[in-house]
Amino acid sequence: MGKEKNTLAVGLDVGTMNLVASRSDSDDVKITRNVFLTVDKDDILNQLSKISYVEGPDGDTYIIGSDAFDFANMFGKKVSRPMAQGLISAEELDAADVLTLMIKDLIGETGDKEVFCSYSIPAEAVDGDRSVTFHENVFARILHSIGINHKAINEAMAIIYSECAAESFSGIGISFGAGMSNIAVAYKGIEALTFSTARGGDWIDNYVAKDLNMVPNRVTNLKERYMQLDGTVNLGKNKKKNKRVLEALFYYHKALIDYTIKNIIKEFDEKVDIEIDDEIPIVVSGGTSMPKGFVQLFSEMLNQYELPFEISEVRRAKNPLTAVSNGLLIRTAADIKNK
Amino acid sequence: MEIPGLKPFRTPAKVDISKGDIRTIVGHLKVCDITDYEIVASNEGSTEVYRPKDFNTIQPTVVKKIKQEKPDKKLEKRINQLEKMVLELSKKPVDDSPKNVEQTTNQTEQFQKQILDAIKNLNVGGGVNEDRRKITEESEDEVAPFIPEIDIEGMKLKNQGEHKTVKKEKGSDDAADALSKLLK
Repeated sequence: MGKEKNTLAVGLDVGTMNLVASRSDSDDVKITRNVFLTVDKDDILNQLSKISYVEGPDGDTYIIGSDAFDFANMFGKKVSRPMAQGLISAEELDAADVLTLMIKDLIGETGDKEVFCSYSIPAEAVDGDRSVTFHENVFARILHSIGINHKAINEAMAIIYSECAAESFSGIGISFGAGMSNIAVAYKGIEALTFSTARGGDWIDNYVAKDLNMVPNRVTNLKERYMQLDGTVNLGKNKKKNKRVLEALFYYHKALIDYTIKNIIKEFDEKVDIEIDDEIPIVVSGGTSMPKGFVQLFSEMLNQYELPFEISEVRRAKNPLTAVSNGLLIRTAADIKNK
Repeated sequence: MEIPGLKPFRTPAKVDISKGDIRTIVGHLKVCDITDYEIVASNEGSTEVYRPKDFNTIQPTVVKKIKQEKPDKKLEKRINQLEKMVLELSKKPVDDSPKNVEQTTNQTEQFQKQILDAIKNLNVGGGVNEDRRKITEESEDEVAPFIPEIDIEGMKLKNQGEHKTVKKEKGSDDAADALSKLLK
């Protein structure tokens, strides 16, 4: 992949929970948590050799990525998250420098190659009041500051690039992320509709945490360890308490899916002019779609509605965590070929 | 068309605005109600295009200034009115009968409540002038770059490269070929 030997294509998925990078010259996709934890260096002196961290010019210390999440859980602290609801967080704007180093680290060494990168952006939310413009430009500046040519691509379109090559890039891509859910309808590679809703995994975790008087971090942790939506139950050690959490998580997953389907129908009816005669697939992706049984639940709920288009199948992306990054890499390589 | 800092030109036109002040230019276009334009920024191979809606986000600062000036005037007007009413009340002949004392106390209490409500609703911490000074200081502080500057000089990343990795999906090359043909 890559038109010339001296170019490097990169796909960078900028998610609320994870940063994911794919490169044209590597078979590995790298993933890290999009979080950091500000700590007093003295508190972690004996752990320093084992963790990734950033040292600021004034001696400030930030544990970054997955390690930050582990240490926050250990200390009962809340991690700093540079993004909220799919967009750069206004509360953590000072973290742009830390975020830049995290991205630089994730992309890795590029040598003397000219680097082209497509990075993911959400669509404007139908139920949110924040613009994507600021977010898009912050990441453009971050990539520019580390010498990378960049282009912003809608993250749900990236799913279609990654998963719908067999259908000539026609389909509906849905990314159920942590901060929001992104939806794109494409026909033969052309974007027909994109939009997002401000509900995702965090929305589920926050409401479950509120209902059960828990810290959201703890709900996220239980969700990722035990959550299954296919009827099988894995309760772990603390059975009674976990059962309540998992039951609440199930109802909020159903509510999220229902809300997303209703919005797809509404937006399609209001904004899509083209007639799609062919049956098209729905590809579900994103970290929130990871629990076993999610696609089955989505299909069952979809069957309760009359849709304005024909569906060939509902399927999960081959890897929901890396599909956006893979699609962005495909788009970057296609753009390089067309240069 | 005449924009301050640029030579007059006839529209439609491509104009080099790199030597002009972007805030003045965008502000002037807005004043002239011109919404059909693009600003293209090129830097070391990357190109970014901005449209009028991209500049909407800087508006709240302006709106905030205008909106925050109003409560001052409104507050002054209400306090003047209350002052007038208290003065009129004080000019009334004093009647020491128990009924009148009770009535006056009620009225005074009502005035006190109204003044407190007015101050509370208008979110004023100090006097009117003090508050106006505070607003001006806040507005000046808000003149910061729209996009934060990135400065990673002096920051060091330690023990990098410990990331979770998964294998890339096969078929990306073929997909890129097919997509490049569709996008041509």
